[in-house]
Amino acid sequence: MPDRQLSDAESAIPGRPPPLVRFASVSRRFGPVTAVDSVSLDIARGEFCALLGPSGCGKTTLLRMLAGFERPDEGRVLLDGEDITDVPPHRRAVNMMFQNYALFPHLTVEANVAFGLRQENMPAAEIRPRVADMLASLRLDGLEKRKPAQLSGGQRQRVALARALVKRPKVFLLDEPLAALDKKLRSETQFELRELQRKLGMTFIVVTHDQEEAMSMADRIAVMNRGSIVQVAPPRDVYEHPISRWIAEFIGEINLFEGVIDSTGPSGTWVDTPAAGRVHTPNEVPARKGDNAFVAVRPEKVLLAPFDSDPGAYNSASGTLVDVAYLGDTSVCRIKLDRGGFMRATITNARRRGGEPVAPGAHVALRWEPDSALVLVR
Amino acid sequence: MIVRRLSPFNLVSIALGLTFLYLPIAILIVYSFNDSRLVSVWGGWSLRWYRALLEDSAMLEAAFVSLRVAMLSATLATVLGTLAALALVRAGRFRGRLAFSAMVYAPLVMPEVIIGLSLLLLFVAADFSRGFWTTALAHTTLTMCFVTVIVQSRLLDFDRSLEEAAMDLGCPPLRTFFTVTLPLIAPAIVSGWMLAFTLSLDDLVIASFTTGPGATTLPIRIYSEVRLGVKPEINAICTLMIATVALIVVVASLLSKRYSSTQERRAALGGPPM
Ligand SMILES: Nc1ncnc2c1ncn2[C@@H]1O[C@H](COP(=O)(O)OP(=O)(O)O)[C@@H](O)[C@H]1O
Ligand SMILES: [Mg+2]
Repeated sequence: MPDRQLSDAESAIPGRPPPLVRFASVSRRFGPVTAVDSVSLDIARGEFCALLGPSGCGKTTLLRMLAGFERPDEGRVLLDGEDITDVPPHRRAVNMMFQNYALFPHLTVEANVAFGLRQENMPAAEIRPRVADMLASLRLDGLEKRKPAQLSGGQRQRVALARALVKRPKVFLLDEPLAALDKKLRSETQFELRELQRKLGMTFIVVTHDQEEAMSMADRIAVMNRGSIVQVAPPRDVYEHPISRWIAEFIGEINLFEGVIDSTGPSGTWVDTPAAGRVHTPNEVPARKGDNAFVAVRPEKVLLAPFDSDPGAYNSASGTLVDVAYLGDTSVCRIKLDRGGFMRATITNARRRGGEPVAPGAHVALRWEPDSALVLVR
Repeated sequence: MIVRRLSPFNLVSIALGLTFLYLPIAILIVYSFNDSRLVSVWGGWSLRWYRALLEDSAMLEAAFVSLRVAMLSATLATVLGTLAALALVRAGRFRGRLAFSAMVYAPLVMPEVIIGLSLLLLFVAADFSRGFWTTALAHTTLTMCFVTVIVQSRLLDFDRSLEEAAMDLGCPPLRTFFTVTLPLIAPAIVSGWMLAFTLSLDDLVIASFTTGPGATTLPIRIYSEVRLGVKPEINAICTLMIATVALIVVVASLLSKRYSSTQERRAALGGPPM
């Protein structure tokens, strides 16, 4: 589905910098499988862009078309205004970090990092300091003479980073860069990558199936599903304003209520839902009275209140608390609604002893501000 | 390594198996150091048959022919076999792939007599004078498929992303082959060469079809001498052959062990790209 940021000819507008990378309606088929289906995407210079989607949705294929390992069946790939669709991988000013890192097992760390510079016929006297700098800046000094097999997972990942970054590519592509790391190292590395990208001012495109990873690193997320890009927006917008039910459910937890549109306009939308009654949401949708729709509310935006308290301007539903999962920083409550269905609410455990009515079995009211809900028609 | 106590049954079967395989060889080796002229009578330890061998110029000549044939045919077979493996693994589905693979592997299952005979007919028809070159060619035909089997299995579990990484870093495809692919499949190629070498060294059947006057290989020489009666010198030359082959097998297995533990990849291969 076309998005505002994509379908444009905006780059032609004078005064606006042209995109560094442009995918112009690229498609790639493998036999009966359409891995990438007519994708258009512009990426600006210096941007940190994430391609996010479930496994098998075509993220890697899209990335490999930019690196030159897959030729699009249709469409063009442009780098810095130049059509590179037919340029072989070794002549493209982009570098890629492979999912399994693909370090050369027969070469030392130093030789791995120097490999790319040697291909440019750079004199050895120039290669050595550049490699040394790169290794030092990624805390790899002292490991120069080791082979990849003698490194830890985190060190291997940094060698792979160094090997690509030392080439100073126009665009740096990362395919699931953190997938092979353990959880703790992963969250540290997320911040390191972000910092590295800012420091270098380089354009990064990272492929991931992990929404948290995409949200914490990227300036902009392109959400993919079944070979198509379904939304391109900054992390906050993707989370707060998903444009379809699929995106809302893919990114984070969400409560959905089926309902029927009563009215929609610039002042918002009224939806009649069997589970939560008449609900007001702030967004206008391209639908008419009587159309089916979903009201979506994130669990952390739902407040638990005593059953008989006054709802005020809030939207509201009521139900019985079924269970409470204590997660340390937050607790997740599951509530069986009086009028059918279940709902989740997240409460923060800011105090050691909260006064919330959170004992299972309690009859509670669920409140959320009109601003917190969203109506989705797709 | 788990050391398990062997049951008596296992012990007996291992002992029987080893005896069956190695007793004849052990007897041959021991008798090569026999001082007696009679093959079946033990006359004490001695190196006299090895000394006699040094004076047997016909035997030495044959050994030299065999070594040259083995070297040349192993090298040719390695080049061709590696190319065939590359075609089978990398070229995708080309027309006639099945036929090609069947042709490559045919010598693996074909009786040697038939290979020998058909090559003889070919050489006669083509009016080649038989000798060193025809034997080397015939051995290349025989051993190429073994190289292909070994190299193909290495290529099948070769991580293609290594080649992509090299190209991504600016390395053109051909140079990628020489700087990344070849060093990583080198152990398989070397093992293939060694296997081809030993196969050629001990071939009697095909060589006797394809060789001619002036290019008598060692197995043919030994065989013709044995027909006149086993001389102790034969034991000595056979012991030397066993030693050569055993050495090669040990080197090959060490090589493959060393390379399969990725810890120990030779630094020498990491030289600058060409
Ligand atoms: N070389 C290939 N041959 C055949 N099918 C492929 C190939 N590469 C990818 N695919 C298929 O294309 C689809 C998208 O794959 P991919 O881009 O790797 O997904 P992702 O990286 O999002 O997990 C998958 O269905 C996959 O099976
Ligand atoms: Mg992938």
